[in-house]
Amino acid sequence: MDKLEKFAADIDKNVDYFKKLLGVGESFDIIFREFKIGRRRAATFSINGMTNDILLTNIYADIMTYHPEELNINTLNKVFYHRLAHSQVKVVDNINDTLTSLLSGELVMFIDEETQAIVIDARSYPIRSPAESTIEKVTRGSHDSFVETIPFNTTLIRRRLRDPNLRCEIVKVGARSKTDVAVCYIRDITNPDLVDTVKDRLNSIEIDGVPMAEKAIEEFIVGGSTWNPLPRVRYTERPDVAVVHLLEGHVCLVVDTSPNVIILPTTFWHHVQHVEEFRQNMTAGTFLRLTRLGAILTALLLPPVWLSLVLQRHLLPETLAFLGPRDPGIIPLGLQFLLAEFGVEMVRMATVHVPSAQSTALGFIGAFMLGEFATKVGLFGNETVFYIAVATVGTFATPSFELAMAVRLLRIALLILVIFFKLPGLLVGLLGAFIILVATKSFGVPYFWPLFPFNFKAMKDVLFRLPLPNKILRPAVLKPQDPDRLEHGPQKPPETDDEKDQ
Amino acid sequence: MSKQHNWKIGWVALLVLSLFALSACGMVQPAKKPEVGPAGKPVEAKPNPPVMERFRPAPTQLYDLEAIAGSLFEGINKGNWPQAESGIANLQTTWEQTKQIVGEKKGVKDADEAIAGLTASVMGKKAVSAYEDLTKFMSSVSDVGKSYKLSPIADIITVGNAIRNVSFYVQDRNWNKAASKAKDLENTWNQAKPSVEQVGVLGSTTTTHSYVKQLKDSVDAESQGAAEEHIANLNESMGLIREYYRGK
Repeated sequence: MDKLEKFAADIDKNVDYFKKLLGVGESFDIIFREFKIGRRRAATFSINGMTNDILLTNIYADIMTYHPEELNINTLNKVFYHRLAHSQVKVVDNINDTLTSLLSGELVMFIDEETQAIVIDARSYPIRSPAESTIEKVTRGSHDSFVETIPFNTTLIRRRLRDPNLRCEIVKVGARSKTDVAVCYIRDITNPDLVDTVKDRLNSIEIDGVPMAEKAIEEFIVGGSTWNPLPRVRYTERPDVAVVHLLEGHVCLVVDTSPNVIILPTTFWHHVQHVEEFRQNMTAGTFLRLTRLGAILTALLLPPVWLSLVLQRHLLPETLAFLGPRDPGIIPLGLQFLLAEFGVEMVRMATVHVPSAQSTALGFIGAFMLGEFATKVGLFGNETVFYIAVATVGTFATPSFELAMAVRLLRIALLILVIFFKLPGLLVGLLGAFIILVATKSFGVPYFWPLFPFNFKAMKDVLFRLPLPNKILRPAVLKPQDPDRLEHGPQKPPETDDEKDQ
Repeated sequence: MSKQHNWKIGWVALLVLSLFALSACGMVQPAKKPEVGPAGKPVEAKPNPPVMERFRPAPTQLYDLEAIAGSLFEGINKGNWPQAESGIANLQTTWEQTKQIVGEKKGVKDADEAIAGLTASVMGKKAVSAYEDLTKFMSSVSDVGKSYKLSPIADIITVGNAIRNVSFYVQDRNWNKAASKAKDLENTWNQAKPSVEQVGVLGSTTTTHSYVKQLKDSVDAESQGAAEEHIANLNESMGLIREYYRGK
């Protein structure tokens, strides 16, 4: 039987096909059940652990009580319309859709002499409740965050956005995994070309599965060089952040099995903002934002700039002569920085991997290993440890983990250039980094906008946390259909093609 | 504002930033110095050399002067006056060539005065005076070297001077003075080490660092044999560093 074919009227053919395909008897978790509805034979397939047992028991109990004389003709429709009280039930007429539903956790029911199947959504996933995000914490504000279950995540978005124009279109990715990806956008705000581009790229993914969920999806759809270290989409675990971006005209991708929602397109500046800034008043928010920007710049520039200046200290004015190391340590300074970077990364990785009970102890060992002992035995200079520590703190102050990693890689590249070519190497490296920033695009949006190409109004919004009542314009670079955030009368459904013709 | 206009503003900003970075803030002239301070006149002030000149490599003659100074010092220190006289002749010739190349730079006037005193001391076979004049001359040459911002020549000469100081008092067995000079060498080397670090000569900088520490220990222990051995090792490693940078 071809996968695209319709069902046979003979229930045995349908059941045999599904039994062989799913390996009933071989796989312990495929549940097959036969029973009778009136005089008709019926069978169900489901997956153990993915269905709600209590719900199914109620459904079975309900349809098995049919009197035979009630079911002489049109059995499937009678069951569907009169007995299945559950809200999410559908009738499917082809094998392909039925299989996808079954493997998604839905119950599939065959009835003899019927060429359709009933699909009952009685799913019960292994789930966790929305808890506070560990990587996007705030002092004030909501403490819920996305989880691994796609309907929960779309619910968290809809709770904050009761807009009839909010669309969450499902695209299935992966020939085998059939992973659900919800393309969320606001129909009358988001640029339709952007939505089409995203959906086209999702539909053109050819792979068997995407177990790494959002990260794998990103690599397929983002375009451009995959070796570019700059993150061209933003991840968030916070529903309020996702909604803010939807209202600006972005597209959000909610990938099943992942608590990280993809926001696209993004610019560099999206990765340096944090929700905390909007939970404080304007002045405090601006202070936080500028501090954060300073921290990121420090993380990128402090070690290579200091190294380049002390390697050619005669370039320094006399007032900055104090910068030089008092005791540089026996290892060449450039190598000290590379070794320190290596050490910090080792400690960070180890801290992530070990159980939390041991991570504090590991942090202490790492700090003493790198700082105290390395300088005491004369291998490292005190300044090296200090500057790398400041840069590391700056890295951790970066809200986006992806950007923090990119900054770290750029910093190492700059350090290597300085080791080989000193100050000229640093200047060339910075120019190279600038060119990468300017040349990078995220779904057609210049990555360094609004600094490059320059847009004064938008740049002001990037550098300062402006008052929310003044933020009435959506980012122009997204080409939103509705350029401002003011109310424009009652909302209407989209026009059909016929209505447009009239 | 049109999109093209935005791009133009961006490129102009980039150009201005690049020019500013390349000039290394050197467009600014230093503030005028006072004519007299609490203990007399301040150091001689010279205007910054032209921007591009600061980024030229140092003339090879400056490295040659350091090499000749080593040979001359050996003659003075060991009382080998024919070697010293040959050294001073070489030094004068090379210094005249150097002056023509470097022009009017900070340190040239002082070096001229010092080399005159040095010549007289060597001809009069006055070891202490010759050693002091040589140190003064090489300090002035180091000042000349500071005008070449990307070159470590000034540091190489300063470290050379510091090594000669230790060597002079070790030879003299004046251990108090030698210990003080060894401490001075350690500080000088700590300041200069980053400037001479470069891929290709990292091994020599590491060994120099070790020898400086060991020399200090042996001077503190008043061990002349060990100190002389470490000075010989330093001569080799600093010589390698000097040769590496010569002409670069």
